[in-house]
Amino acid sequence: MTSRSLYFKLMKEDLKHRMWSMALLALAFFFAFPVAVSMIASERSGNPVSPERYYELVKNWMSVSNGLLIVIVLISALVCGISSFSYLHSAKQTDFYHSLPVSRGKLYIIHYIDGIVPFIVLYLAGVALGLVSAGFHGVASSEITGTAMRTWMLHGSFYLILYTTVVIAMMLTGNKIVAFLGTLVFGLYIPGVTVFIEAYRNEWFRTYYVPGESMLTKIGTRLSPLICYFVYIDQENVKFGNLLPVLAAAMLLAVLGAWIYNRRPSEAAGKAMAFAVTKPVIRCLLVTLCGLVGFKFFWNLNPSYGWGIFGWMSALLISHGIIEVIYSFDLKKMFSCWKQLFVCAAASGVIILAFVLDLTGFDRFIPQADQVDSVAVSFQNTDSWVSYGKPDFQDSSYYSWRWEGREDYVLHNMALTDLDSVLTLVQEGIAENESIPRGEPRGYYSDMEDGRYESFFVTYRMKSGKTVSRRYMADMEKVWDAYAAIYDSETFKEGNYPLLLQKAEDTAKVNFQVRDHVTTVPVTGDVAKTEELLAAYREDLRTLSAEELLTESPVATIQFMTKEQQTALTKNMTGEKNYYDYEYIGDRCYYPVYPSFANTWAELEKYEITLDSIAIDPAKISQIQLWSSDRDTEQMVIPAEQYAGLMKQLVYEDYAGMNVLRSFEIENYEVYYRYQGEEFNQYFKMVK
Amino acid sequence: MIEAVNLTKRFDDIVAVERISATIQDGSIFGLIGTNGAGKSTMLRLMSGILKPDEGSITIDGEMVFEQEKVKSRFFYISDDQYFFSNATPKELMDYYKIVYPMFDTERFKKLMSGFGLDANRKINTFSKGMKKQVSVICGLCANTDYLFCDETFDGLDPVMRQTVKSLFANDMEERNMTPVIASHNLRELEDICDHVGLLHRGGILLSRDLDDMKLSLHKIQCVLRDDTKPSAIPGLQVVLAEQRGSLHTIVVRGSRDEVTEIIRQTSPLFFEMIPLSLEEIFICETEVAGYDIKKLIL
Repeated sequence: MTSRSLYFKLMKEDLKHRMWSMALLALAFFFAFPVAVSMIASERSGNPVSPERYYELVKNWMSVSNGLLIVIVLISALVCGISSFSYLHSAKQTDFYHSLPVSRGKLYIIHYIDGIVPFIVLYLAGVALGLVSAGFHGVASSEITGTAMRTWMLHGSFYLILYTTVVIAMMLTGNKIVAFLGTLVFGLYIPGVTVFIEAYRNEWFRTYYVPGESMLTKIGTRLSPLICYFVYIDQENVKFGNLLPVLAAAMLLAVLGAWIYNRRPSEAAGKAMAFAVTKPVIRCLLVTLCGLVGFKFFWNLNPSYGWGIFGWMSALLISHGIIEVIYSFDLKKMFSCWKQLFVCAAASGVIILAFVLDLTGFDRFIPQADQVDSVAVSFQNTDSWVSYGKPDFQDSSYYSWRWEGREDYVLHNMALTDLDSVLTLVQEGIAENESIPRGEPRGYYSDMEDGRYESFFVTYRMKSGKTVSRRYMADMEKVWDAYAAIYDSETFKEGNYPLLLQKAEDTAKVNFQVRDHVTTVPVTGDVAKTEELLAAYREDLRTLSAEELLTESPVATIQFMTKEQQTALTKNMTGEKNYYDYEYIGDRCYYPVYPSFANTWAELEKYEITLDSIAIDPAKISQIQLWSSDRDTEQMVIPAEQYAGLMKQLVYEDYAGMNVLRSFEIENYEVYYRYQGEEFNQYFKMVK
Repeated sequence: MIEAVNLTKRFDDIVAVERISATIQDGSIFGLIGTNGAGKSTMLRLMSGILKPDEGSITIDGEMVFEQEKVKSRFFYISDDQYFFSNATPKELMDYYKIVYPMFDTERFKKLMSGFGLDANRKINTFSKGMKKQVSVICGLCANTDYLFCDETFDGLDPVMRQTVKSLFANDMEERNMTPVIASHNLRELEDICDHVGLLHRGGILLSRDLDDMKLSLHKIQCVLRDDTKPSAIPGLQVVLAEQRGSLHTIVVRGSRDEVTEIIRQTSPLFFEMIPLSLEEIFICETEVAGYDIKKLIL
């Protein structure tokens, strides 16, 4: 008999013995595709939706965003992985298979492939039936077929890697429950380590900050097949090329599985762990992590070292005991490997101390000036009004605003070379940190308390190609010159304000907003006029200085709405829902207009918008009331004769919030007035 | 020929088989006997290539067994608790074995199944323990392998079936020189079938001898001697075991039958009779000589 024929025949026989798992898969895909698609269609007849909407629903169902498919993949990988090699966990079955004149290598390949083929084939069959069902209901297109096939490719690839992970867990253990726990360890251990290391950094490194995804998180998520799966699902338009690393990893794991199988002793059936050598390794890794988790958990409940140490010790003892009981299936053996418990305690203790005492000097880091290529700096409060991000098409049906972190944007767009100013800020930040005892809460001010403090983020681009990021808090009074030097630089502005990189041809229209009153500047469709206005505003924003911010507040805002925003708004407006998203997208990207923006005002004047025209006419004010800071108590009604003088010192509260360098009284002035034929009552702030 | 050299297998800190060296000649029935936990099953699992020896080697005609498909195709292993696919019928089992044992004799399988009164299309999990054993033996015989490894296979078979199986073994030995290796804790079960026996105890082999050799060289004698002569005092008589009840001596002696008879006759005994030795008695003698209190070891 040829070897190929033997493989084929044994695979066929093996498939006969796993009919139940195939039946489960067939049922799952039958309900997930033809039945579900028909059900979506029947929804249309019972509760009419447009054919376009039905098309979108079917396409969406066939896409990676279908959560049911993710559940099916996860359960199938677990069930098939366990059933493929369950014989290894039964002494009787192991003896049977290993006594046959079939090598372990062949047995592995046969059972491994038999765990994949039914999933791939039945999934494909389900998709085909789903498409037929869609066609029957009048919704079939190459786009839907393409979506379904791309989804099949993605889920198939991750099924492969998840299934292989379960297989390896089966190889390393001799008991199904332990294999399941092992699968969880493979899926969650590295992300768990990542999460807790990040948590420790955030808790005890005062300056810790990473723009976007940290390298540790990036590696952590990629090394876990489970988390990596969710990362891929979250991505848009995954192509076959993106899946190649996943397939390559699955192949490597499959080879590793074969290698383990060849070394797996038959007598391991029924034991918790198949290889004695893996026991201390896994125990130490898990118990050490549990020690870290215990310390952090109790620290979070009650931030004191006493409770932290209690949590650390409890977690060490409990986790070590549980693992030992699992290993030996004997409660009496709970602390039989006490020496390893001490090793784990020492390891986790050293890690905890390294963070708590900052033994690595993380918070004191200042780079050598000659090693830094450029720096990106972002201030947390100075420009909190800037909208970073863009509209994002959600769920194939509506747009919402996808935020981009300020620090991410700045990192990609700012390259300051004035290192001296930045390092002056950093040194003050370090001094500020050292004045707070370690172990105290991080203590970043969410706003500039008394106008003094500012949180800022620094990312050094080193000449070596590495990037190093830190966050600090500094007393602005002490570092004003350095702060002003950075703010006044064009490089900072260009890296901080997305509008400075926007082109007129990408601009759909310009909205000018005075408090709650919005006017569209009549430049829509005219690229030249838009460019003139945009250039004028850009010039004013570029030259706006920190000193000016101390004396001025915005009097209006201006929005250069992008075509992307306009498209999203139009789509949402015509959609069946999400009025909120319509509003939300429309409100993004308004920039302040200061009285000193001469170029802008000159341009706006062409459209009869002037400083005088937007001011509140005291004659049109019907009442001004003074309210307490929490607006609960009315303190007084301002006499009408004071309106004109008072209005010169009052700033509309939203505009006051756009420039936090300027200080305001805490009380609120509620002004009732008439503007452009409309009645308004709004809160204002008094300049200090 | 199966040859174990210095074979050792440990399960964690338990030594299941320790430095066993033994040879199993082709064409004979080898009985592997010993108490529970003596290492019989481990020895058979090592022979079958299920277990990998920690030390030493096990070979069939000079070739290592472990992971050698060609060598493994020369034997069929029947465990003491044989695995059958869930919901499988004997016919389905036959179909599977046909794939892995190319010499599997389908016709004989059908004939034997019918002869044993077993329904080839009935689910095996509805069979009794004895019937399952019968199915295993039939599969083993029909696989047409050179060796058949049976672990406690006769346990659970009724006496008639046991005799039938023994005769089938004898038939296959005669027709195609099959070599059964039978592990059992029951000496009496193997007595009338084995040619060669190996006695295992606590992982080690106490002895491995040809049963006929043992029977020919050991004799049990009951006699009454003159003048209170002690058997041990008779010149030339190698007494292995001696027991006295009144004037009646029951002794086990070593030597050829003629030689022993002649020596006893020369003492002109009042009564003299040579009675057959059971396998159990042979082992008691042999192992006591080796310094073991065999009565504590077996049965």
